[in-house]
Amino acid sequence: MADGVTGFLLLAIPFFCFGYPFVMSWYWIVGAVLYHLGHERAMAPHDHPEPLSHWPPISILVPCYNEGENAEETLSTAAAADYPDFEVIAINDGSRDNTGEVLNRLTAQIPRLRVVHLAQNQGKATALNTGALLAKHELLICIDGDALLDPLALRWIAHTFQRGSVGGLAGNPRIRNRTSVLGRLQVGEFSSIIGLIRRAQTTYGRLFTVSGVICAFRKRALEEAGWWSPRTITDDIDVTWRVQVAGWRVVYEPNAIVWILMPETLRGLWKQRLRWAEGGAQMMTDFFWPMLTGRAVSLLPIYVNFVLSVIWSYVMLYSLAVGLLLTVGLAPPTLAAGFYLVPQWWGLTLTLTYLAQALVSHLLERRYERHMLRGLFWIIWYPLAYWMLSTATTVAALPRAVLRPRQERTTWVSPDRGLR
Amino acid sequence: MSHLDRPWPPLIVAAHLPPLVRLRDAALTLLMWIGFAILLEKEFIHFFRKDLESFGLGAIYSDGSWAEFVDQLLPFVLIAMVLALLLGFAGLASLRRYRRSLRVPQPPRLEAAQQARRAGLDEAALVAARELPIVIVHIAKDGRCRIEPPQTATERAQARTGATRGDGPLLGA
Repeated sequence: MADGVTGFLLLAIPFFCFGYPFVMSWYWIVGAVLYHLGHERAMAPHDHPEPLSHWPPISILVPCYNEGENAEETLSTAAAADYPDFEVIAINDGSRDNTGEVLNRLTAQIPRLRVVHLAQNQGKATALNTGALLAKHELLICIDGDALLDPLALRWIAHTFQRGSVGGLAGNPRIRNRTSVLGRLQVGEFSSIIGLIRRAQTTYGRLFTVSGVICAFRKRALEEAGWWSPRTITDDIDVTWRVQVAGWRVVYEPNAIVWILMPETLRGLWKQRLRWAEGGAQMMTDFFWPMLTGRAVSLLPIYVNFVLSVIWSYVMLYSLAVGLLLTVGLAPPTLAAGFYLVPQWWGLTLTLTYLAQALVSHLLERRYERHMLRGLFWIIWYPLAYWMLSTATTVAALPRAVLRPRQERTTWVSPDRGLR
Repeated sequence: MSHLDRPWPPLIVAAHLPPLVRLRDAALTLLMWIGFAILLEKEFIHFFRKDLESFGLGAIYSDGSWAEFVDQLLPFVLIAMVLALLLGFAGLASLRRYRRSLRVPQPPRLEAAQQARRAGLDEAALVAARELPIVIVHIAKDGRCRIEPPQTATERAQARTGATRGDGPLLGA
């Protein structure tokens, strides 16, 4: 019996290690191409959004914690958006640097700007909730304190919210800092992984998450979803799920562009990805019961996919460990079947599949950024470096998320913002 | 597109990066591609064996079998195709829903009174606070808010510069 189970596992593990990313990669490619054919192809050019008879007023929320260096650039760019009726609200969440003074000074220079100082540091979720409370308008756009909003993003977002069923929107973050290989790799990653998956998920009709760095919501949808939760590690994943469970649509709008700074050191990248993975794992535990009781049936495929990706990370780690032992001649022969460190047919097929995915995504993204195809040169690192990073962060994140006290408030994490 | 008289898109590529570092990055990446191509050598020979032979390179030995590879790949391709087909149906439903949603009326906006209740404020206080350029918010443990106008003379002076916005009294519950 035990031999039967071991035999099955030895067959199933390499099958799953290869099969899961291979199948999902093609699924995403097909989904993204369908999105392109069904939606994107018919859109007006990015720099010429179609006019609306009435542009709804919009409030832009910018939570800031120790953003003294970036606030002026971020807020002046947001306030210069090409849109008829909007306000910008900067929420200073008890910063310990000079953010407060910078923001107060900027209110005199930027007429559209209002500043909310939280008397004590409360975390990003509470900062957003407070900003929303003080926002005059129904449509809220949230960007980070170091992000630069594209001048036409508001027009595209307003277009998307013309559909009464849309409660939330995921924008299109694009990387500003491209000095190092890590920076350039993330340019490719945001297109070939994040952009492609968001397109495929919009084709399916449900999103895993918006990006906290550029997202938009109706206040009504947030009210029904319970607003941003202060105890979640990644407020964006949590709020996306709750808005959708409340019956609203959350969609991807690739024209809602924001330019962002990303880590360009391995340490910074590790910390960021660990937090993202922890947030995903927290969602997995938080929404286990709603999934089991059928309260969010339409989200089940997205949930199952996430669970599979976590299992895949553990299986990959096991597989790599066996491959390593095999290479140094320490693996017992019963464990060795199908595990190799040097890529064989399967590894090469997987890499080629990823390269096809990267090519498709870069072709789709040319619409938003010229010279995207140049970035393909750097993409060869992705299957090696990033899959390993993703595996390691997921494996490390799950126990952290499960063991974390359930009511613990999350705090701000000041990220590495790359080389300047 | 230019924006605020600065280059747009606002890319950052550090000019001070030593040329040797740039060269190292490019060379390492090129090596990765070459390594990958070497790993693909056997597959390349399989795929182009007949073409290579027709170029007069003689009989080329290849120990792999495409048929075996395709056989092994087939289950995964079938799973991917089934999922893609299901996604296609879901996509059609999404497209229909998208077209219908353009006719869905806008939901009613969330009233200030409703938001004020949640924060433990009265509506008038919240509406007044929304007109101030600078406010300070105190949040109690139970989530109730107390909103104050700026405390310092500098902040008050800055607040007065708001064209349509004046100082307000102490606001909140």
